[in-house]
Amino acid sequence: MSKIPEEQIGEIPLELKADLDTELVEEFISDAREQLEHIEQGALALEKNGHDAEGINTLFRAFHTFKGNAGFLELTAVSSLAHMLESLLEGARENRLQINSVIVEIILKSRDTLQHFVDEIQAQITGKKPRAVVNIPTAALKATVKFMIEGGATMVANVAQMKATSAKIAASRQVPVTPPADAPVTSAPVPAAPETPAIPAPAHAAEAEPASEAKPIEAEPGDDEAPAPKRGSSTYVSGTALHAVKVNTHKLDGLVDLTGELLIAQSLIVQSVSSPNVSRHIIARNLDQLTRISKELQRTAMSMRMVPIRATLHKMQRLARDLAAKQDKKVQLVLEGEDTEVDRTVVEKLSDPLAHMIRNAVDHGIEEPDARVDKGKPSSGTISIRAYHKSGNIVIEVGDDGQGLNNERIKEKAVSLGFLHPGSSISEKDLLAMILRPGFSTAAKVTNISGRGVGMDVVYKNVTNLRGKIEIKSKPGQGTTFTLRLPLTLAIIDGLIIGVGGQRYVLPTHSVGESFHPKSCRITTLPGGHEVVEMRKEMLPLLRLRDHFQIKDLPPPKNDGILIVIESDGKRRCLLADELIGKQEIVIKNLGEVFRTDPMVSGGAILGNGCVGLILDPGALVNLELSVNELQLAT
Amino acid sequence: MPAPALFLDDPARAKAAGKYLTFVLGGAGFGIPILKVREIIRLLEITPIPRMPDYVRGVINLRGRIVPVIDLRMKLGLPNPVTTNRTCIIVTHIQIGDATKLMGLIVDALDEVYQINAEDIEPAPDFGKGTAHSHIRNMAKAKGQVKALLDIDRIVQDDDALLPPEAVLAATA
Repeated sequence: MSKIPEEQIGEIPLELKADLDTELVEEFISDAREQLEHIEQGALALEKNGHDAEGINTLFRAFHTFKGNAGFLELTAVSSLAHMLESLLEGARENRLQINSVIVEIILKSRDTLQHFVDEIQAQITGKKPRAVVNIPTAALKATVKFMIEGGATMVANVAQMKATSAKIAASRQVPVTPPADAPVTSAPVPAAPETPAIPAPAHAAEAEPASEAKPIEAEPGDDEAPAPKRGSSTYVSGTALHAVKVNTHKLDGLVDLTGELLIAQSLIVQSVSSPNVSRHIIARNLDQLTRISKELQRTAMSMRMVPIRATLHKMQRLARDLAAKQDKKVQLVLEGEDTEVDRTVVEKLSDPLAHMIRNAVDHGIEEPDARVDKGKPSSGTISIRAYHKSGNIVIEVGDDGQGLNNERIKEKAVSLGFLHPGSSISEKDLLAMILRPGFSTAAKVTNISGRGVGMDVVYKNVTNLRGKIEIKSKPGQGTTFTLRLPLTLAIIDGLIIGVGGQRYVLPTHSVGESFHPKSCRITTLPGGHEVVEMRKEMLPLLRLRDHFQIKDLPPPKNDGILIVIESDGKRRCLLADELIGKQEIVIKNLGEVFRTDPMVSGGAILGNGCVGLILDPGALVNLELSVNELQLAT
Repeated sequence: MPAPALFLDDPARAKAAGKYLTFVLGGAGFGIPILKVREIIRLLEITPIPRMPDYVRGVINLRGRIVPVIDLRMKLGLPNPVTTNRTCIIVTHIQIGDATKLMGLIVDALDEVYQINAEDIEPAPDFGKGTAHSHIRNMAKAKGQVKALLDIDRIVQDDDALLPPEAVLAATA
């Protein structure tokens, strides 16, 4: 075991030197975040199986790398803590120390402290905060670790004493704000995220507790009073602020190969065009080749934006664990399809909705262990997240084996909120979708409605913003499954191209319900001038795009136009366009960001004819305040 | 010789000096700093954006990038924009918040690139508040003609009819 220099035990303020190479620090940060993730995963794995030598090794290496990187940049405050943890794990590696939940807890706390350091360093290096000395208390934590390491040397000892210690630990944990002075072990003032306060040590910790003399060690009481820095949700912030991308070398090689092929194909075409007696079909063949290569090139380039969903899912593991511990529930999270790849931008926006769903599942889905046993279920609940690709989408299923949704109560609630007419029949699917409505969850007594609902409208909003869909399935007593279907990338959409006033516009296909000829239905003008389209007993407000776009100086279209039903935010509206031109996969681009356009235009796309087509935002179109038939008033 | 009050002080004048791309709008001469110019392209098909002020002509496809285009003649309130075979688009770099973006300007015809020296620059006369000419910062004499030197960064920013892009709002919030 490496000796710990005494001077490293105390508080060490962290100061970023003025001449520090920013690039090096950024590299350190991105690497540190990766190591922190490894540490979290490793610690959680060790909690399940404390004897896993490989797991201990992984953790050891992660702390070691962390220490080395921090030491290189002379971030002593960081490296000394990492060094202590490394020593602790070395003890475990050499079987001098038994990993138990208390040690796992300390590892996790140290990890959070390290992350806090990294956050601070990042904020300062990116200029979000002014350069200043960072004072994050680490002494108590380091003292605890030291105590653990030294305690590990005297393995076999008085069991009673040991139990007393752990009881104290457990007791002090429940009141983390004011730890008793005689339990310095827990006085480590690790800033606790509001969502994940200190976790009460499980009662069974005592059995596995390593013997230790319960002598209190020196801990600076001042630390306890030190205000815990606000963490906010930074626990779940990934390293995305730094826009460095790790790309599989395989993909990179593929890209380079393709670029080579592209150049060859190009020179072939140049040659065949310039020499006089080359037949057209040789040129056509070369062009075919070029087409194939450019398609492949696009595919490879797109795939570089794809990252495995692993990191996002793994973050949920910690969340589920902490939440369950807080509520004295037993929950295990089963992950499947962690290697499923999805666009970076999508991955970044998935964390929030997933966290909400996990929170709901733990809070309301999974029952108390006793209640579960009474129902004949295993006392530990299971939440599963499955991710897989299906027909151009990524599908994420979040399921639990809890109590399920209570249809009757949802119905009652929906009626009382006016979402549903009393006595009207509704399919189960539509009924369950009610819980996604804003207002459904925030209403009073929401927790009484069979649970679910807290923040589900947030999930719905997030997923809709990603152009995805949610489906809910639930069986009373057996659990609930949320299925999210999301596009693989936000950069490409399936677009329906429509013509209005000689221009082409794009509607995202996923929001288009159907289209039909105006002659096949009745258009009624209501008093006041608003028009509605009657379609299979449904009355839809009509929006004449030509009028809305204020196209005045063009002759009216030759035909009657075409009606298109669009749907967004649960609202439907009928658009009248001049013609349907076709369907195309389009790459979304912004309109230059020089000024803001009308909200109904959400971006642009280069169409087949080389011109720009504007993308219409269905959300804005259905929420548009309909003015009275503008053209009629104008004439 | 003591400088009259109307003249710029020397540092400001020295700062304004440099190479300018000059062009013609409705018969009058204008100039923009050459460093603001990315490229000059012929007038190509412009996709109009509905419900925007008239002088926002729309967007073009500049080799896969979408670039908004404004009609400088209409913007400056010059009469009768006529499109001729000399009409072209100057693609410029403009400063929006912290970012540099591209914007196209439709002009009647290009003139040439002039070196405008500090002593040839005078501040624009005060046209009065609320005129359309707040983006004319300086006037310059070049080869016996007066050119209005435009501050193109302000053309879009000072316009109440146009809202700043989301990115700027987010940055200032």
